[in-house]
This record gives sequence, C-alpha cells and structure tokens, in this order.
Amino acid sequence: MNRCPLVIVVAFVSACSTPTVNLSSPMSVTDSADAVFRLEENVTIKAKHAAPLTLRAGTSWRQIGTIEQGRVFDTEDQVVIVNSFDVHEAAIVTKDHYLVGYYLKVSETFVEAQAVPITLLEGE
Amino acid sequence: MNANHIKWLPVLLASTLFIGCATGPTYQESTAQMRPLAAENGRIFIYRKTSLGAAVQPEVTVDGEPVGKAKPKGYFYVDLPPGSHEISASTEAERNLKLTLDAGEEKYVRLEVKMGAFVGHVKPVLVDTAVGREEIQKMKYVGSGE
Repeated sequence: MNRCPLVIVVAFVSACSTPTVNLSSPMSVTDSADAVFRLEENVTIKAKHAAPLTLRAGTSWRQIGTIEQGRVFDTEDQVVIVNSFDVHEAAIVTKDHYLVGYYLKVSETFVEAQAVPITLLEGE
Repeated sequence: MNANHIKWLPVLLASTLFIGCATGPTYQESTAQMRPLAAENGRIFIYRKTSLGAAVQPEVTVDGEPVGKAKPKGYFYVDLPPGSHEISASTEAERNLKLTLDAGEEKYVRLEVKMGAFVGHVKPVLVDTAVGREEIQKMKYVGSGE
C-alpha cells in the first residue's frame, strides 16, 4: 500500500512520455550542409503526448543529415523541442515535402508526428 | 474570524507570494561581475520566471551534478564543454531537459512549475534565445553550485 504513490507517479510518467523509435542505423551526416532553405509558411507539428510546436515562416534551415524516415533539417532561428513529460532538443524530419517527425539530438532517436505539408525553398 | 483578522488577510496573502523569492542582484547589476566565457565552453542560463508554487524549490542538476536551486524570479548560469547535457529538477518526479551545446554558444532554460499528483513539478524548458534574453532581465542572480 505504501508503494501506491510511486506506482501512480510511474504510471503517470509512462502514460505521458512521447514514444520514440530507435534508428536501425545512425543518421548519415550531410557533407554539404551549406545550402540554406527558407520555410515558406508557418507549420505546426503535433506528436503524441507532446505540446504542438509551430515553426515560423521565414526561418532558415540546413540539412544536417538523413535517417531512414527522411531528411533531417536544423535551424538556429528558433528553438525546436519535443515538449512532453521531459523535454528534448530536436531537429525536424521531412519526406516528400511532408514534415513527418522529430530527430532527437541527444538520444539520436525519431519521434513520429502527424504528417503535414512543408515547403522549404532553397536560398535565403 | 473577526473584522480585525480580515483586515490583515490581504497582507498575509501578499507576503506568502514572496516567501522564498530570489533576493540577489538583478541581471543588469550582476552582468558586470559575470565571468568571461572560456573559448572552449558554452554557457547555459537557467531561470525561474514566476513565483507560482514558491515553496517548491528543488535543486537543479546538470549531468547529475547540483548547480543551483529553482528559486522564484532567480537565475544562475553554468559553463559547460560542448556536447550533450541533461538538466534536471526533481520533486516527487524528475523532469529532464536533454540538449546539445556548442563552444561559444549561449542557451536559455526556463524552469516552469507544473501540476503534480502531490506537489508541483519543476520542468526545465529550452526557450528561444531572444525570449530568454528578455525574460532574464527581470530575474535576480542566485549563484550557481559550481
């Protein structure tokens, strides 16, 4: 009975953590990360158990690598985080002009998001 | 409760709001004493913007080492080598922020108070540099555990 609070907390934490996917192979780093892409319109990312995040139109992005789920882009113009029970700094993952999830920089894992169209225009 | 008690109620309520608030120099006053950032390190500013849940002031750790306390309206900073780091605050549950840091980089982490099952949780959240720079202006330096 005296373990009840612990059980409640553990259940709460596990219920509210964003599910992550381990990568079958590490991100392959993009050699030519010089190309700059500009986000044409605001895009809101929604992932399970995480607060929605809006990427701001006009922010600049560089491709930093590729994973099996798509191309990984990062920016210095705004913070990208997966804000769940814990918080993870992240980059975004796109595939075929859709934003499909987050790449967590520290754990090097993938978080799936609701696929939304995204337009990254090459050039500043 | 008589009328005399009621008269003092607002004063009592107001005083409880400020219990445990930071009392050090303001950000503006403390910047002159701020040590220069070594070229090989990055700097993380950690601050707590509100007095909400002021009684809850957990220790803040970076990579398991204590670096300061989550004092309402207080801030401190830590200089760290480049790489991955984990910032944590725990009450009944531990809340973590996992981030990366480059040499020469400055990052801002806001400590947010969230509802818990029994007591509030203090959650470290990475914020935009522009937001952090603006919000920290009103905070008071509470030192770090370095």
